Amino acid sequence: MTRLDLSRFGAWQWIQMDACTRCGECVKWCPTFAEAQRDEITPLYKLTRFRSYAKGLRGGFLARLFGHRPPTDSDIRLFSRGAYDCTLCARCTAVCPVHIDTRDIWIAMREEMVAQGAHPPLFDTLRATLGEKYNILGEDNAQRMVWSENLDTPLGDIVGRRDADVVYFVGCVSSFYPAVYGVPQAFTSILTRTGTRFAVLGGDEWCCGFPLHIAGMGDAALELARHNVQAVQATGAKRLVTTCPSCYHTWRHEYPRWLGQPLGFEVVHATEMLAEWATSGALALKRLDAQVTYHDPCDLGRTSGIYEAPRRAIRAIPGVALVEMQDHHERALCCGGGGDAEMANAELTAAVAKRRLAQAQATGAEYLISACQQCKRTLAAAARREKVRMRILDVTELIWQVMQ
Amino acid sequence: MDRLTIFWMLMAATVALFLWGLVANVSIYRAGRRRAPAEAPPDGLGARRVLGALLADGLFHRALFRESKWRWAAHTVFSIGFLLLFALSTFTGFFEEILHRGFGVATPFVLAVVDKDTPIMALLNEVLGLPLVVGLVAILVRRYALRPAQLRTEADDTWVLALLGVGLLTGYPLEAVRFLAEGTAPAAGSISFIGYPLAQALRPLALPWEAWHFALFFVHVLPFMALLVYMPYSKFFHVLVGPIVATVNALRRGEAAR
Repeated sequence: MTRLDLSRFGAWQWIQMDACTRCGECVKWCPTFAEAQRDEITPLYKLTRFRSYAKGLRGGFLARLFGHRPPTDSDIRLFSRGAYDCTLCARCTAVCPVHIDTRDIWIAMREEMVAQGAHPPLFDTLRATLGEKYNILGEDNAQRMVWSENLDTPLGDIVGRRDADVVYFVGCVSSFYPAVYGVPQAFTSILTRTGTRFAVLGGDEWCCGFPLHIAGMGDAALELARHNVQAVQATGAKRLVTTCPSCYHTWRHEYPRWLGQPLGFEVVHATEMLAEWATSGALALKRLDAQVTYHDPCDLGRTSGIYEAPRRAIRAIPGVALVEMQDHHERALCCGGGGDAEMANAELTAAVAKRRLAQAQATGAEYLISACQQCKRTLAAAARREKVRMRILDVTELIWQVMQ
Repeated sequence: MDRLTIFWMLMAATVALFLWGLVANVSIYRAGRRRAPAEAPPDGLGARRVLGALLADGLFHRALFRESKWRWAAHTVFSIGFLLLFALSTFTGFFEEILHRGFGVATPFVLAVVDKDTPIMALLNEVLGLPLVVGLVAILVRRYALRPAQLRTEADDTWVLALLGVGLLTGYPLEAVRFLAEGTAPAAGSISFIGYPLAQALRPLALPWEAWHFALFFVHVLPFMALLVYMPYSKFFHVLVGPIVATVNALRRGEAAR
């Protein structure tokens, strides 16, 4: 029998778990269950099992009589597989008839799995790497600007610049994965072209902590958050922009909660700035006669509420026809690359990505555009595997392409 | 011991066990730490928005309506019927047990409410039972006959539906047997458009109707008592917390403003 720390969850989270009617709507829409067909992955399983464990611990003899009991070690092991084979896409919240805020519950469950020592061992490596190197790849953090080295127009001395209006937080994936260097390259080129006074943090940029937070190791993410906020505050900039939706979500929605105070500057996603510039004519966009489809990143759409800004930016390009996929906006299918699921089960991530790619193909579009370097990486990898001839770009790259 | 004395003794035990379960659930909630909300509460959270969300989301589940009209209809018919019949039973119970039997109040209005064969009371009981039966049948058909792939039927689902089913489906037979036991005259019974014809159909059996009424009464109420005890440990607890969660989450998501 395993003891659970019920205080890991908020009171409101427990109340929400009791609101689940087991209607199964979440099962129908769960992207990883659709591929793996294992019940322990489903939101329904996780919610009803966990509340049953809690009632087994607190409900006395009647709870036992009605079949509730604390989890055994094998229950926890099975539960952990379900908890980590999840992209945290939050589609279950969108389709739940009472909109149970599932994602925060999944993260709290992962925290409990970590406390039980039932998490995938790879996450210990992630925690150690971030503690030593401050980026998810374990690279030398001083090399954070490597993506900027082959730009046509050098960026100049923008690292830690003190007279900047905007700080661009590049993020680990864009900084170190060559396949997505194009995202920061395009965005900084646009910033330069628009005459924006911007800075980056370079080696002073540490991982935002999102991968640790969602792995259930939020306590280890706090130090990263404190450092990053101080580094941005030191520049005196009044705005922080990210191209990564997960960094955006963490800065905008999590940091104030973790730190217990406002940041003192505005946090925006790059697509919000692009939409403003593109629709006001500030970008001088050239014509592109092409059909384009847009993939909503989970951390930008469902969990941060930004759906229209990237679409406005895309529609502002003369000649572009934006067509929606079968699942879009709040119902958009995840690319498979979120929630640290790739670390726990790369095969599952690939299967989800394949399904999303098929939805994109079905539109007949030539371009599959996202607003997330991780989505781009995941979908591009799927396209390579499936030999799909489709241009997969970030919205910043598309905009920069038609600005040249 | 007479039927109602036994009923109230059982009811007292039922309520005590229900409260025990409720306390156990609240102790889980209290064990939960306070988590700082990610966002400040939405602006302009006035009484009108809260009431709007309570009605549209808490009571009438607009999200379910968007998802499936058929499921929404089955759930709404059942839940609203349940709510109304529960309110009617509480109302008449208060009049009968507290005012009439407890304090001896015998005004015409109290007597009219206490008498099950008063046309309006007979009609209300008869009519409000119907959506419950229709809704329950729809729910049973979906879960056990149509069996959509997303459903996972476990013991909890079956127990809740079995207790509801036995309780609800014995309602009209109980009414019919009461007519026979009390020898209700056609003029008084005919307003009960299901119960009374059923009584007429059963009459040729010439059974000891008073004993049958006694037994069927407990077959009818015991499942509801069992359900009340089981409620805090089952998915049926959603009838208490579901409307609260739906309302609060709708307000958080800004649904109420749409």
